[in-house]
Amino acid sequence: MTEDLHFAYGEGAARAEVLKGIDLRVEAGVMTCLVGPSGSGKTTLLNILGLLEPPQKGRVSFVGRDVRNLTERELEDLRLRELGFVFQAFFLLPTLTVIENTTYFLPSLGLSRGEARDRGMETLARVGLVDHAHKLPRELSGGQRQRVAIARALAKRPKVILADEPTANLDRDTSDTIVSAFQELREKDGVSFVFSTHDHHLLSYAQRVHMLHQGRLVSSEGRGAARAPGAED
Amino acid sequence: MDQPNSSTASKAYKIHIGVTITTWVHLAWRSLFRNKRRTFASLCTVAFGAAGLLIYQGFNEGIMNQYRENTIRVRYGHGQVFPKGYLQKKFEEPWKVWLENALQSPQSSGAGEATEPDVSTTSVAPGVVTIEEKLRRIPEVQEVFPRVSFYAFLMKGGVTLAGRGEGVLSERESKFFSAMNFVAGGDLGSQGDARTGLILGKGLADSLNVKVGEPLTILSQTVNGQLNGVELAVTGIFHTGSKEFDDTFFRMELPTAQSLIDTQRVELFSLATGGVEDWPKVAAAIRETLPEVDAEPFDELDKVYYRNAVEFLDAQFAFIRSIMLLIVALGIFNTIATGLFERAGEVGALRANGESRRRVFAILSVESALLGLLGGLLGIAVAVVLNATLLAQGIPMPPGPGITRQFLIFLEIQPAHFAQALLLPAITTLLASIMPIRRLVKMSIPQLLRANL
Repeated sequence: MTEDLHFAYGEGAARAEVLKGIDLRVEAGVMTCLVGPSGSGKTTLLNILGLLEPPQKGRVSFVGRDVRNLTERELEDLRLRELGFVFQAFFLLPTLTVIENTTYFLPSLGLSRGEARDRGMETLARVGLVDHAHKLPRELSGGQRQRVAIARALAKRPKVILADEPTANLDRDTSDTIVSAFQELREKDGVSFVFSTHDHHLLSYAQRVHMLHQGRLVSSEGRGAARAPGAED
Repeated sequence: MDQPNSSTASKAYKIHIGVTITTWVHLAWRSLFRNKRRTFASLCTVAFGAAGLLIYQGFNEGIMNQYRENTIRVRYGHGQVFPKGYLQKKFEEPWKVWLENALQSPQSSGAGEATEPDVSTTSVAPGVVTIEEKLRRIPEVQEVFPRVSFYAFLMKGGVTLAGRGEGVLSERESKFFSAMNFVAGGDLGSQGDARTGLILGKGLADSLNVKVGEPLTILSQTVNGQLNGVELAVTGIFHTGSKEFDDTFFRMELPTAQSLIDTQRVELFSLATGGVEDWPKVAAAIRETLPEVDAEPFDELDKVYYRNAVEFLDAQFAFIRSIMLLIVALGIFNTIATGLFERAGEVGALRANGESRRRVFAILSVESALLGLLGGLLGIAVAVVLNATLLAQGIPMPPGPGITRQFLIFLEIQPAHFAQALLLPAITTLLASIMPIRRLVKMSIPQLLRANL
């Protein structure tokens, strides 16, 4: 949840305020979408919601805790246990196999090697990549890589997954596969999703859409049941 | 409820640490080969440094050993035993304090202990144990060489030169003092009766214009102040390479020298031990059993030639080593920094998902250390191959300071040198990468994520 959130880049004459008094609430088990033109502050807001960047002014709370009061260690721990991040550029570790990328964080969560492997395979099954478990990222298509990135975030069993333009550069079929995975996780595991996107197709699956313009939240729209992936626009 | 005991907790902690380190090494190892060309370039730089260090250190050790062996096997042995305080004081009549080898303390033990007959003295009273015998009883002592030294004039025809004579037991000495390098003739006994022979340095022989087989008259002062002389035939001319020694020294048989200066005493005993590392034990045993003498190791006796040379070479090596490591550090800094900043996005994604700065720092540091160790191993392999092939015939060296002959240096690589060649480049690589790693780790996550876009 954010209250009167402000954020600016640069100083003095070069200062550019990108978020101007954002009040936002992310509900549990809901797919939330941030939309807006380039430079509207979507990525910055996503970074702040994902505890990657501290707010300069205003309040951000996560599961009832004011993030300003958290130490670096506590923030790292929250990111590890409660949040998962997926990026447009995937950012997988190219020298690790799909299963190794997926299970990367699990030992830090206290899982043994065997437990991590089991959970990794289970997660890969959910994103349809079990057959590719021992391949390197370079052997996969863009969509498959994105699914590995999702699996990596998902294997931690976080409360919230944040995704910055997760379907940009992907074709419609691949986007649908990824959105299907999101929907299933939301419905079965109650995982919340927050993503920024320009993709109108992806938007149609969101339960809540927040539109940003020049750093301000100009509209928040709630929707009913999500549409089925693959349905015509 | 069961309480976990502290040893179980400690064991679990150790296992966790073990798993963590294994994971770091595993990740580091895999990352090392993500850009094979860059890794190869870095490995070559580190290997060049490691090979350079090992070859230079082996070369340095070769020179030092050559110096050491020259010093030991021409002049001093592994050490010498003198009358108490002999080296610290100036004596007007030094022979008065020389060692009366035949008149030492009564034998307290030694039944069954083998001793060679004492040829440095003419009479040993029954039941009396000589210094030489006591020295021989020290287990590390392999041979004892009694000597006298004196100043004398050497005359041939109309030429008279001053020189420094030594009386030695040539038969005994020739086995150990093997670096005399005779350029003409041979040792004292090589031309017949050793007692009538004389060997001298090349510089001295050239100045006197004397050749092997020619006679020389030696004039010296006896211990009673009288002039005494002896005519000896030159049996050999040596060229040790030490200019001071070759220009001044000559040697004759010990009894001949004792007769020339009219004494039964000996000035000193040179000792041959199992090796230089035995000297501390030998010195301790001498302090305990022979309080009337001082024992000095060869490097103390030849400070100017040997110890100064060793210290000079050590200092030179330390300086060159620093330069080599600096070149390695500068050579790989840029490659490492570029490689690291290309991975900013990945690091950002890991940190966004909860990876700690500390762990990222550790993984990247382990990767650098691993690169350094691999480079070190490669460098060692290169150095070993070079030593076995191109350098196997030795490196011809021109005469060094105070030396008049050329010599061949063979690399003498010690086990400690391998460790140094492995660890120093690894540490240097790690240090060279600390700054870029620190810079990367200190970046905020959004900065990291934007860095490669």
